[in-house]
Amino acid sequence: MKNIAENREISTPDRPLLSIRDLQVEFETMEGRLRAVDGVGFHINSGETLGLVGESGCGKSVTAMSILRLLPSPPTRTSGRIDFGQTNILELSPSDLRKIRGKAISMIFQEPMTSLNPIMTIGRQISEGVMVHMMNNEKEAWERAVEMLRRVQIPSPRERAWEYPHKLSGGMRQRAMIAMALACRPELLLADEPTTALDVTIQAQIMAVMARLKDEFKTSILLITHDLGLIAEMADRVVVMYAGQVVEEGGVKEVFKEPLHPYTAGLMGSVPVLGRKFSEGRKRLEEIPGVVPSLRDMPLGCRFRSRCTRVDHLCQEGAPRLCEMGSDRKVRCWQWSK
Amino acid sequence: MTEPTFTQTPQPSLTPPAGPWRRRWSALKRNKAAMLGAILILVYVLTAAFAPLLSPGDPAAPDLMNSLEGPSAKHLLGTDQLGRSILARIIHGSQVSLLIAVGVIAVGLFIGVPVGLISGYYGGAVDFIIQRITDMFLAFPGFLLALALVAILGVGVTNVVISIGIYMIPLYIRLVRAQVLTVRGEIYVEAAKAVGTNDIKILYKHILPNVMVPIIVQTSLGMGMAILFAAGLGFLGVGVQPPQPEWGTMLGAGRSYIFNAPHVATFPGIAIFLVVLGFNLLGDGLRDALDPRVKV
Repeated sequence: MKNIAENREISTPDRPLLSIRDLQVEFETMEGRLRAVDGVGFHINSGETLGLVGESGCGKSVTAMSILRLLPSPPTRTSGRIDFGQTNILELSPSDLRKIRGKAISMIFQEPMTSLNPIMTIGRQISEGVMVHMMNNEKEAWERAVEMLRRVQIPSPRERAWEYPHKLSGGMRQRAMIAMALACRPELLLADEPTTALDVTIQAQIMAVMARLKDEFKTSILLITHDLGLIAEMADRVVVMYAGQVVEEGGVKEVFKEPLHPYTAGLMGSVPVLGRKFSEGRKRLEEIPGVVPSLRDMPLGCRFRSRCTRVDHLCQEGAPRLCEMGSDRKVRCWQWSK
Repeated sequence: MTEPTFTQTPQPSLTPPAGPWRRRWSALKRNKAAMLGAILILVYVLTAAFAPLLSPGDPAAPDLMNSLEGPSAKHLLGTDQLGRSILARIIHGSQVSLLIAVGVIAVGLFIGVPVGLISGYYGGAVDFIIQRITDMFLAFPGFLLALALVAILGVGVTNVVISIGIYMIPLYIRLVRAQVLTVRGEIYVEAAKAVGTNDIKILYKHILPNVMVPIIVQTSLGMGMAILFAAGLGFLGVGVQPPQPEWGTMLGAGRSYIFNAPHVATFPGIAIFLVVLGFNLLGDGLRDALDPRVKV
């Protein structure tokens, strides 16, 4: 993991690979307009892994999907800016968007069991993307697919390429998905809970494959997860989301050492620590009381108010802004912005 | 790390891939009724293909001296009101009936499937308009629609194909659209989008193959239905016109002699019955074999 930390120094903070500013995603529903993502902004530097954490329904996946504009467009409205290099992705024409999808930015999904087409061989599914972006020669594209399968450490890749997804286990399918996503050497990989559906030993293998390919291909990763252990291990920086907003951002070490937002602190507190003795400060496993407020009636003021341990009168009166707290550290809490 | 380099073109390895279709085929083979249906259809297809060789004579040559004769050694299935061999006419009639069935299905498939794909995949206003037009056609009782269209277009093989084909189109649109709605939300479709595949490729490489099963079943059942509809039109005298031999037309002509020469109507009826039975048995068998929920 050491070289990942080094990569962070290389990247230039003034020109990030991807920068999202004031992203709003709304869903048009029968019950009116629901805002799933409300003014989200963060950036990813080239070569870095950014962890995006938050509980289910906080808008993590919606944010990732909107980067590739994969959300269906009549019911969804997206506004704000998503700048990839010099171009605003939200303003691209459909054909220019297709040139970015898979080639510059690609995505792996949570469910390896359903993210491969059941009636297409693994090799064809990988070579399809290659043929869209890199080469027209079917044979070369196939060779590239086999090569990618080898790189994600699928045994006997040449034979496996001819197999259908039902013959592969969940871990193998997720490797195939990674092969598919990285086949065109994208600059940014969006990994939407890539290991959530897998068991723990397989998780570790998959993350190892991703970490190795990230270094090999110099790919940046947006790692979406609710597994803090994974973030601690993989990410350079972390963005914490709550109820459609960014509540804290910072370097992984700093955030884990000293979480500023009560929600982040609550998340950290609710991870069990194995092997720590009572005398070494073992505590009862904490929980964050209450539930995430519904999109239908978001409370005024701070959205975390009803679950917060440090609530005071300011929290009811107005919504806190995301405040800069030193270099590369931000928090959305009245406690710090008074 | 380095793998020996192979220069061969992509080829199946030693064990051929047991794709989903292979498993379905072996399930179908075990279904006796479906196999009976397939054999019936095969017999009809061979009959149609070799009609001139199998036929005992000219199906259109009248022999008024021997009209309405019962089955005999000379005319195995007897003769009709003009003395033409019924066997010869049934054999040649298989060409017409199968041709109509194939034509109708072709019209239904080539228009209905793409329109259904577009309607289901894009949704929204496109879907709404297509579905309301489809509703309009589905509001007619099927046979009545075909009859009305023939009344507009006129009689003859081509017009029969067009009329029944137009009836078939909305059936395919509905079927395909419903299937697309279940498939388009699948993650592999999203994954294909995420690697930059364009809509046309997604439609015919990812979505169409995954909605093929009901299309195949509908095609088999639809063939039987098309033959039945064509025969119905022929029976009413607005289908294929004599002297061209067509089973429904023969049936209609034999109706007048049903009491003194029942064989004239009976044998074409049996011919229709068996081929439609064949397509229905095969269609049912296909549905069972291809249904992913039914484990065999």
